[in-house]
Amino acid sequence: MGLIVAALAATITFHPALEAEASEEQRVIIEIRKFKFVPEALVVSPGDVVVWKNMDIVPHTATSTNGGWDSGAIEAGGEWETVVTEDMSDDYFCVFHPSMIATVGIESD
Amino acid sequence: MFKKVLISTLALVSIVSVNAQAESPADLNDLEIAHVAYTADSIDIRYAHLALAISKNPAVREFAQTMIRDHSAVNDQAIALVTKLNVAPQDNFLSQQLNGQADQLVREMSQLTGAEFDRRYAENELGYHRAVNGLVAGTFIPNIQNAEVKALFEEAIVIFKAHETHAEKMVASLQKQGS
Repeated sequence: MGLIVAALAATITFHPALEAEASEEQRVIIEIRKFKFVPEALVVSPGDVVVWKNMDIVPHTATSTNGGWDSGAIEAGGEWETVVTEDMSDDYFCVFHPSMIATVGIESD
Repeated sequence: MFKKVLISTLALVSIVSVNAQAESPADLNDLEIAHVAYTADSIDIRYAHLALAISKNPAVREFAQTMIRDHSAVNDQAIALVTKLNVAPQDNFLSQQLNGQADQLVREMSQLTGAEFDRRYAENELGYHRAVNGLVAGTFIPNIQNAEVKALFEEAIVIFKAHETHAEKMVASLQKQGS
């Protein structure tokens, strides 16, 4: 019996999928690369942390189209993160380069 | 006799010198291309400063600030690269031609105000980015020999194409406001 419990414990500890389920909040990365937000569409949950990483050589912003949230300038090589709230769901864009648009959707429970 | 030899020598030097100089964008070497790119960036920064001095239109001012921010960043990268490679960009006919055209245009735009300036600035930004992007994508990138210089130009063309799209929208918006 003890052997079975130990084996189960080992499985749970080292299985990545189970590890992800154990943690409710996720940290999601959006790369800004070649003037695109990657991925362009993202679904997250309240409490998750979204990080925008600027891989370009010029500054960008991640700015809600309805004005609800705004990263300000994210310098080249820099990043900005925010905790997702229920009212955050929105299209967003780069103020400096308005052709860069993307979406954050909020997953309902 | 000495005079004749001197004249012949000078003539030869002149011919060699003319032949050594590029006369078409496709003939430029990497160092000359780098010089053209730095010059073209600097010219657009100059136009942008003029726009910030004259325009009161928020969209035009935002665009101008973006031009200063982005073209300065590209030039900073270019300086870092030529410093690393321990080379110096070379002045050439195209850089001189661009500077001459820019002097003339700055003089012309300096006389304008209000919506008239905004339209002229926006239309020039669109035309300028179209022309430079065509040159960079069609001639410079295929001809650049150094891999690091080519990589910087490939990164820069993405930026400049976004500027072109932005300028197209600015022109359309100003035309709508004026109609």
